Amino acid sequence: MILKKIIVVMSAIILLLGLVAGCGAENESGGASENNTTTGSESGSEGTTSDSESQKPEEVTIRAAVFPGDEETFKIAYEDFKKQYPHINVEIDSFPIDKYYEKLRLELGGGSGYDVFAGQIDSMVDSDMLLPLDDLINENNTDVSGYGTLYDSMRVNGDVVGLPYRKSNWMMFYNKDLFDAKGVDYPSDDMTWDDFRELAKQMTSGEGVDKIYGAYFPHWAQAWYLPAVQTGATIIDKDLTPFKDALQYRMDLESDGSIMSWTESKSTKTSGGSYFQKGTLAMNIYGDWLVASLRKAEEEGKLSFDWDVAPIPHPEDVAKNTSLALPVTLMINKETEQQQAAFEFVQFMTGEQGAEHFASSGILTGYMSDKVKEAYIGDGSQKPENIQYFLETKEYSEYPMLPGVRNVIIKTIFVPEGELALIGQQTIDETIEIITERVQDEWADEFEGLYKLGN
Amino acid sequence: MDHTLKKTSKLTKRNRIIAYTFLLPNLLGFFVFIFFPVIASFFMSFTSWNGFGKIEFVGLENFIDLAQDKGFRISFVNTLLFTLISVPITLFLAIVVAVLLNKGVKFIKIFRTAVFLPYVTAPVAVAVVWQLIFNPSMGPINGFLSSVGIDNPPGWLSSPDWSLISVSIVFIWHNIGYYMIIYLAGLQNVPDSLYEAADIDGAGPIVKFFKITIPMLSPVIFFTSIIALIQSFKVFDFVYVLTEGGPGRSTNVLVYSIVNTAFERYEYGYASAMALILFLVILVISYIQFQGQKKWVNY
Repeated sequence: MILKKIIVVMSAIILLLGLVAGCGAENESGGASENNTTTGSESGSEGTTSDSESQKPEEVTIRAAVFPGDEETFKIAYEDFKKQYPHINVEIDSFPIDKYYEKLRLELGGGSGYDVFAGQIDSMVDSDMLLPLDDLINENNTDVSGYGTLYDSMRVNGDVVGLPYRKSNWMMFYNKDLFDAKGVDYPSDDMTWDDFRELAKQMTSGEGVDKIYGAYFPHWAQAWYLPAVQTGATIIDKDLTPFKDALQYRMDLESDGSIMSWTESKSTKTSGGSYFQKGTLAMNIYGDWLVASLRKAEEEGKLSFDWDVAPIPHPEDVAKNTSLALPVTLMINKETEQQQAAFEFVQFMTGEQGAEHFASSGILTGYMSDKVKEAYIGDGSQKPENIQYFLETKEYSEYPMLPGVRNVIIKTIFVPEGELALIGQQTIDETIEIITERVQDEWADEFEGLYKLGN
Repeated sequence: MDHTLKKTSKLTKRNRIIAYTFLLPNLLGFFVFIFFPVIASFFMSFTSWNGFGKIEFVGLENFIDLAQDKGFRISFVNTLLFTLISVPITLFLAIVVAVLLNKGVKFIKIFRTAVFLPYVTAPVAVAVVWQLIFNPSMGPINGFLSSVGIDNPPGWLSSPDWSLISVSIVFIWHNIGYYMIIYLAGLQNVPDSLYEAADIDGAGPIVKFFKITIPMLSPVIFFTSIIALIQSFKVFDFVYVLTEGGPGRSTNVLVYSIVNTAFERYEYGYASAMALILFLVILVISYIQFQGQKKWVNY
């Protein structure tokens, strides 16, 4: 008897739930058809407006998700954009950087998506949500010359799916005061990693709280493997021999005592950016976004020393000023109803006008032209003095921008296995052997061949 | 007779409907937020899905892959080890603390609060402090160890041999308070007369602990052992904030792997398969515990 009642009640609940779900679905489909009709009427009205009153395009609103660090610059550039495109409203949102892709993918997967979003192509391309931009670029006669080689090298399976607004390249920041105090010459633009090692040793001094490290590398896998990639190797190569030397090099610096150990850096959660600002670090190998932070710190009077930049050191037989970069692009959701408006926004932000804003805040932009270069170098009143080096940098991608490379290879293979070598739990040979094997098992078997870079 | 019976059943009927109406909001919440996702995850474990587009049915492929996945094996073993270390020690220490703080101590409330406090502190905040305590070069633990003449103190969170133990230590410290409260409640039900009788027979405190306290607490111990086991199988937050699964993969526990697989590698189907395995393991162990209880639990 009781059981029967429970069953009745349960089925009532399930029915009720079904009803709720049904309503939801109905609403959804209703919404979709509504949207369809609006798009229909829009395209219809578009035809008429272009005939009668082309002055007044319909007002549209699009949503864009960007990296938190870039949000401010986007908002400043947006004010400029608004002057040219008064009918396009853009809502710019952001998520915390460590959860950025997770959040973004959930939003997009849930269908309540963004029309435009920033990010590295490799983290999004497998979603199959990216609008190929080639047609829009042709229709709008977009000038793509400024993107240089990036334009073609970032194609995925032949399509342009994102336009780069920044390169995020590696540079070396140095504390001029520490060099002056020691009477040592400032780092030159043409240093090999061996020269750098000697210099780092020379600049290291003190103990405990007075410790001054000659150099600092972040506790990221990229930071130990960068000398290998500078030679043209990539982390998905079948032969990872160059990475052995890179790992060895990092360990040599640690045993010299001239850099903070991996363990200490990780356990104290040290960030190269804020650590450098304390003034107890001579040379910092870091990303270009530190320029903007240092300028800001200086403005707020938080910086007590003079600083400048130089290209990162290079391996023996590699040309000077060879660096790594990781372009960040703007991409368009292929399900957006406002393709044209979204494209206008992307074109503006990644093109010359947007690039000027980013460049003047110290960011190396994907788009380059004389005007952008001028904005990047500034009028000489702003530090760093030697920022012009980076206009001639030859860059390799930090990693091939293919799906899974960042999430699988770097995060779950290079980081933990490299760490075991750096804390002396695994020999270098073992480490590289394991990495090679795991890359094959956990990445290549699944992803290799599915996506192709370039034309 | 017949008449009265009918009447009662009508009344009961109405009462039941009222009762279920009161339960409805809770049940609805349960269905929407727990039951449905669990079922969905069950079905998802037979599919391959990256969060977008088509969900592809792959049958048992995920489970076959899991059987050969070395990473999964590592995280499985880590979880078992973690449970083996943390559950017995947590429960044992919690009983000892509960007995000590049961009665007759000055400032008893202050001590009880002190023991319970870690449990109500946020894991993230706790982790920051423990990271400093465990710091191999500057932390107080190693400072103490080297001052008493130990040359090679452990690397704690930074050493793959010690990291799982270190996380367990923090986990145990965090949870003792919770189990202590449950044991304290259990101790209230142990009649004083038993201890008095034992006193007359000349039993010492240790004998009383093992012969009276433990058997009388056995139902509570049984309950806590199940809860503690499930909790330790589910450990994630401390691993996430203390070690991120490292160094290497030494603290990569099951739930950490599941979260990574789903939200970093975007393999929702595969992650669901891992979750299903975790569920089955907990189910089996709980079943064994329920069978075993007949032998040692006194009601």
